[in-house]
Amino acid sequence: MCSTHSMLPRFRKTAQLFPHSSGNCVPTSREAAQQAVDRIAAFRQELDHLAEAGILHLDAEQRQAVDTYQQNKLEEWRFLFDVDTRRQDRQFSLGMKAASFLAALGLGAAVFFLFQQFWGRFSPPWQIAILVSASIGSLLATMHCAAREQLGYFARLFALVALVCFILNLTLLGQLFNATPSHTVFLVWASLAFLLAYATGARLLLTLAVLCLAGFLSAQAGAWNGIYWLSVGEQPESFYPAAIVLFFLSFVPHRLNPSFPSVYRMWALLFWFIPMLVLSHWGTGSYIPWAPTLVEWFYQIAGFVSSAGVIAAGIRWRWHETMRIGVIFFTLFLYAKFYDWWWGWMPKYLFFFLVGLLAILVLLVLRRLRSRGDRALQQHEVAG
Amino acid sequence: MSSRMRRILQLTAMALLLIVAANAILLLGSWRNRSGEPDAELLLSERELYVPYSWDDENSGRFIQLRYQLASEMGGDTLFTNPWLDRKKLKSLGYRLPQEGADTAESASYLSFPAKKVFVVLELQGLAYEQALAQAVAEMEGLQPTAGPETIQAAEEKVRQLRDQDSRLYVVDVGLDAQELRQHHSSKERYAIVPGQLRVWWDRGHKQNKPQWFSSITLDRERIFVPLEFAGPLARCAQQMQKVPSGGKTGASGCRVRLAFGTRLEPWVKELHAWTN
Repeated sequence: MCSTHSMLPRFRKTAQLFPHSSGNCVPTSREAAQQAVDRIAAFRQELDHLAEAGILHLDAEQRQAVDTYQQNKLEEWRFLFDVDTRRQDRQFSLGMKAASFLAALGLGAAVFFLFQQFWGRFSPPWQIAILVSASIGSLLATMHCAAREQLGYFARLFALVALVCFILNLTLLGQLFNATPSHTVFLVWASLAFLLAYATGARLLLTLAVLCLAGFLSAQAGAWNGIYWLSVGEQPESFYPAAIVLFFLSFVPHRLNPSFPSVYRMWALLFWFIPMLVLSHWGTGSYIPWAPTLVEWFYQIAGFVSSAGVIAAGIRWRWHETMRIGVIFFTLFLYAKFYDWWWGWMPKYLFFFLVGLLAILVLLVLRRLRSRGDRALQQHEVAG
Repeated sequence: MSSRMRRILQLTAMALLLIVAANAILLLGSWRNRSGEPDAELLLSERELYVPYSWDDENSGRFIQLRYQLASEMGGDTLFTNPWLDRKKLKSLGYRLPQEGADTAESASYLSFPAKKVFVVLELQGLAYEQALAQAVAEMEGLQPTAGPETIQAAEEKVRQLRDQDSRLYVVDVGLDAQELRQHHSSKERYAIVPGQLRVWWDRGHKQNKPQWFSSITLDRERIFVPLEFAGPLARCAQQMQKVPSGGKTGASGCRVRLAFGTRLEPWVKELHAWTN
């Protein structure tokens, strides 16, 4: 979280503005700063609670020192990162995020329909000029906002509009010249979406980038096997290269965007498990040259093994989204198996009763896993 | 300059480069497609093109759509059977087919293959059209004298439509190599080679338990953009098409479109005009 090297010049400036600030531990991103603010708020609440319970009572001087230090930190981070230090700030922020998203959707749709309405009335040179200018103009607006504002609401808004403009740019130019549709365009869109996501820190843009990249990788995998790119969904294993690439991307250090690795992991797991779930009941859609029944058995076993492994990995490395996805798909594989075994002959009330019992069992297992995780954390803290 | 500003400038430069490069590559590809001698030039009529009578007010783009036919086997009960797409041809396209005897196996009643990228040969007013017309005439003339008036009328209508209304553009071949196809179909005024998709499936068949291979072929680019310079003639075409009553003879007026296919096999409208007798 804290880095002195890259933030040193900025810290010197803040040291002048905040002379009472001590220590040189400065968050490297707004997200890290907001987490630090949340920790201070939780600490203060817990301190009051401990004082009320008579467990821990700081004298006036100590309390003053702690409050002064923390207040200086909050002001410093508010100045540097424009974080939410009060509850009403947080509510306003949520509202601004929602408004920014709706504005982006609205403006994106407006650009799309504006182009459709008027573009046919221009000659090709003007059409090309308008489409390229829209892409470049919206990109420059995005970067201008990204440079000027800390919170990034307008930057993210314009970034989404820029992506829409670029998609329209290439799509309409392709229509204009009757170009043969190709899956390579997904790679180009993904590239811009990645650049915009990393410039603005927007997870929505990162998700769009991931989806475009996965579309390209799966279409390319299908093309290498002689499949037309739009039919790639008929061979679900085509999505596995995308899953592997995204999973490895999650290991790239993201100092400035600490929430990005979880987005990569989440989509990697979805592109891994959804094809597996489909193939566990539809063996004919596999590249593997086995009998369909054998393929289905293979993927059912693989589904159980990999979801269990994913749960273990999520617990081990504290990847919460990983663990949740592992639990969801383990449960889905299990329910699918129950359906195969029992639905045909078991009374429906009994079937659903067993499904409910299984859910209770999952609850008990998760509770046990959670307490094991807490014990491991305590041991780690004691050892540290 | 702060590290944050430097990062934003770097990302801006990369994004600008990407936008410019993507557009340049697309435009260069289109220029290469239209430079030099076209791979094919077909003179199409309103029979081979679908011209909308009106366009959506929300979309100012103007398009025409290719209308083409797939030959069907005599007595076949599906529109998607191509008699020239036999087992040997399918194997040459890279399909891994089950063994000959396995076609009647109890375990496989339906087998489908994902769509494959192929090059499609379109033939304009050639042998395939003449054969289809001859087949329809033969069917009409072969009707028993005791056939009902409705059956006779239907057969006559089928011949009339084939002769006067239906598209004369037929799919006659597919392959993985466009140059090889061009060697076999060399006339550039009669044959166009375009990218498309082939879908193949095998079905036991619901009639007489006879298993058959079925196929469907679609083109990558069926809708063709009409540039602004041809918007006027296109509108006149649409008006004239609207005047032809349903089932009427289309020879009184129509459209002529010279469609060129470039070195990348992408089409563009070279000429477009409406005509009346």
